[in-house]
Amino acid sequence: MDAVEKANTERQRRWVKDKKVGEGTYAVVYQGREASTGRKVAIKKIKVGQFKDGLDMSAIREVKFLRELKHQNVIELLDVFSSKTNLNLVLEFLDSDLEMIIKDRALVFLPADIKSWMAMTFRGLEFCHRNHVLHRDLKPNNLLIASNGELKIADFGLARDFADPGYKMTCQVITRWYRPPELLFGSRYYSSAVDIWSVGCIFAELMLRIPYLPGESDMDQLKTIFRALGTPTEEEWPGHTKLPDYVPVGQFQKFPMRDLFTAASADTLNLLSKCMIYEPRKRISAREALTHPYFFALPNPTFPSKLPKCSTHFSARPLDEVDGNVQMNSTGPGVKARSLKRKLTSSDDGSEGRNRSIARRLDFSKHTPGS
Amino acid sequence: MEMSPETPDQWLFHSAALNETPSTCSLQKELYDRARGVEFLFRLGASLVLPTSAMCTAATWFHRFYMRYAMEDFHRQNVAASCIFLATKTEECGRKLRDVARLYQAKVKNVDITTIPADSKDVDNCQAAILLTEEVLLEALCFDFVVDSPHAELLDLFDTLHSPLEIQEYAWSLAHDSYRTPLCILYPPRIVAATCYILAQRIFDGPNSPSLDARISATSPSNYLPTPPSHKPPSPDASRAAIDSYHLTELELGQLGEALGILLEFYSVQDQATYPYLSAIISVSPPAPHSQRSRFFVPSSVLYPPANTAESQPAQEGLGRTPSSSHGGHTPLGQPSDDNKVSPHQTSDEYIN
Repeated sequence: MDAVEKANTERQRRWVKDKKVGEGTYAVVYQGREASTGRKVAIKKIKVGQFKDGLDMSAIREVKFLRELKHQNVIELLDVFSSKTNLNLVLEFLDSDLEMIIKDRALVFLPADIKSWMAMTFRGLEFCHRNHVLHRDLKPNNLLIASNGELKIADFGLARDFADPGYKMTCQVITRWYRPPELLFGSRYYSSAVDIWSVGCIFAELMLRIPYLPGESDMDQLKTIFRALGTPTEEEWPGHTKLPDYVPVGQFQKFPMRDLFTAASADTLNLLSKCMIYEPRKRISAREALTHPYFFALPNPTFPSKLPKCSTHFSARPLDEVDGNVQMNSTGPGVKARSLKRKLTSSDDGSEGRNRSIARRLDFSKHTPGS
Repeated sequence: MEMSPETPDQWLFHSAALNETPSTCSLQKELYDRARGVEFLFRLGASLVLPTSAMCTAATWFHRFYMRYAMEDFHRQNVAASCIFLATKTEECGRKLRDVARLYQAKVKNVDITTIPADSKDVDNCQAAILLTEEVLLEALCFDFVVDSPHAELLDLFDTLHSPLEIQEYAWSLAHDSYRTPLCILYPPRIVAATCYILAQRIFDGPNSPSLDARISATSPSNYLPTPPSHKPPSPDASRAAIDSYHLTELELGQLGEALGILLEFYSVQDQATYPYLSAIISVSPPAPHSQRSRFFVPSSVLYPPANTAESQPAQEGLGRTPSSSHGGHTPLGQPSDDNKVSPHQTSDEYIN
């Protein structure tokens, strides 16, 4: 046995697989633990040699970026080893995700809780952007929650480093409900602002407890956005009518955010509206967001361990964040993104109206004076 | 291995480590074949119209791979193609596996890509070989996909020093060529960048300009003069601008000297009859060696003597000649075929779409 094999076997022995908790297109996920300490981990076994294009793009992206990014609010890749023809990624084990928390009707969110989740999201995202990584698939079920309440950005299967200006990137990224209008209009040159739009949608969803902009198709997504935020004018967003896939989708009046987010403070709405600015260059950056007055006003963010926790457990449901069937594009750079993971299910459809009214009756009684 | 914040040192080797690689052939033969492999890799990459970053990343992986696997077990062309294909994925410039395999076949057979049918048996086998190699490659690389290149360092250097365009172009080409040598696994990118820059400057300044030794000495000659700081000339010595901007330590200056020696040794064994434009580089005297190292490069005529010549030169270390005494001595022999050519400038043959 040569040195490489030996080192690999040693690494393999450090981790024990306990049970299978999910299966996706390119990986099987196991719950496991570190042999010496019993610390819980998630082991993502990637099937190699089964794809016509070799190791899957999502797996490559995930490994590439997680090996580089180490931050309190980014999921940690603990180890990588190979066994026979599989690659194994050892990730820190996280109990739940923000989607499960949002959907758990038994939980009540205080404004301070939302502020805490937003702060952790922006901190993690600011770190990614500072290191020139775009996430390109932010949504509540990619924001995982550790047992101590810490929020961690996960699933870097669609991430990429910023291209040089003038280098085309695919616009088929980000789950539809969280996708910014510039991508829906087919922009191939974009920036970290795409992630900020997604964070804005998540911010709104935390307050509403249902998805803020749930479009049923790409076209409907634009309509949904414009219905909520008004059709952009040339002044608000110069040049948007020249984007490759631009289509006029009708004129909608700007509708004051205050009408929907009745209990939110002025700072809250100000930050939210800055995340949802149409002109990508004017949209707030993660760094600016962290110094926004919202984070300095009372109430102070809830300490992570005191945040509302989910009663259901992660391993109780099938994991779907390992999904990823990225295909190599036939004409040069770029990849075809996976299909929507979180489709509108019939149950979501049915409960839509009801959820909205529940959302409006949320208890924001603890909001700060002056808001 | 612990996945602590990655120390780049894992991938930087002492030059003596090259004597201990898994390959069983001589060091000179291995490095000659590596150079051929990188040549093949660059030709594939150029035909696929890949960005420089992807080609540099692939070439670095190629050298790393052969620190862990033997040349005898994995053919250089398979490894080169596999590195290229993996780099198209990590550097976000995706190409179809089938196209990579077709180009591979076209290059090996020395025919136009249009004559290679996409569904031929050879192309299928070639795809399978690339994928098989990819699995081994991934493990050999420890999944370290992110690689820094001297090119990025050079861009910053050009920017700070406002270098003349000609120096920029020389340095850029030298940085490309540096991958034909193992520099990328011996020294960090900024040392390689400084090496290319200083050599480019030396060539640009002409044969009567300060020697490489003077350019990389620990202290600039003007520092010996008892000039009060206030009287220092306003513009620093231009030939030392790169070194000064990097604030290199004595140890790093030593590495710089070794790197210059390796790069010049590589050029010195190229066939001057085939590549007459190399004369300006070959005539540069390498800096005095600081440490003992085995000879890396010998002319291909030494490794592959023509069949009818009785004289078979031993191609091992122990030839022991210093790089400075080596140029000139060889005659252009037997035209190397296909990828045997180690041309210092990549050629982009055909465009694939």
